[in-house]
Amino acid sequence: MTADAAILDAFAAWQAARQAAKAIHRPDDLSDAHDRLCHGAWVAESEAGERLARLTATTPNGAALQLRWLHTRLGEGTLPFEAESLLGRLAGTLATA
Amino acid sequence: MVDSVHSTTSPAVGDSAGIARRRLLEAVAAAPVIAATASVAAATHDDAELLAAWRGFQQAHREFEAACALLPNGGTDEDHAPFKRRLDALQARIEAIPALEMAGVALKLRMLFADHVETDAAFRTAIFNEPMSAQLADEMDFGDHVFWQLIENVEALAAGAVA
Repeated sequence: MTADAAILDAFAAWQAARQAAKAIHRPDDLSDAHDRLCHGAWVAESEAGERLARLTATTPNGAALQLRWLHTRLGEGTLPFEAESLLGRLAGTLATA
Repeated sequence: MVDSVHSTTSPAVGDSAGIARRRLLEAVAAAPVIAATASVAAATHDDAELLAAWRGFQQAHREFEAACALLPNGGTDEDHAPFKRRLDALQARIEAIPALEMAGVALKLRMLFADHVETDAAFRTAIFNEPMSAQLADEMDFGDHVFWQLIENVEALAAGAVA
């Protein structure tokens, strides 16, 4: 079993959930049913992200994947641009370490 | 005694004492630059320059705090200015020097964590490595906790404690 295999799996699941949530969204569909569908998809994305975040990284690559999730979560309006940009670069540094 | 330095029995005496105090504070604020630079040359770690800048940043903060504790009412904005200039310069250096190893990445994450959580308790935990208080832990949200856990994981990687 590869080190941090659980993190690789959780990261892939989170990315898939995120892409699904983005793909589902139809800006011209204002129905309640679509709203519920989108909400459910983003809840699934959030839960997948939290599963990834709760794991403990034991390799730089695992830490980098968790940092990517953190970058996405914290970067959405709560971090200054410089910090967000630096987080992204650090994820890259960790991934190549 | 500090109080005698700051007593202003006449405008002339007050002015000269103020100038002397400012010069002293500026000298104290400038001194660690030399120490930090010297330690870079001696170090062999890939992130030596970054680690030295970090130690300089910690030292500058401690000196700033010590000066504030000595000055009446914590000092004035003018008193603080040389310390803040030095801290800003050191923070800019830390941000500018690329991290080459896990140890350097951990320091940058600590700086980001302090900036992100934006409380004095978080600053002291991240920058001075003081134990996290129960109050801070309560105030942090899930993302903050993950952020801190990630820093600890990266530091464990830096120490070679895990694979």
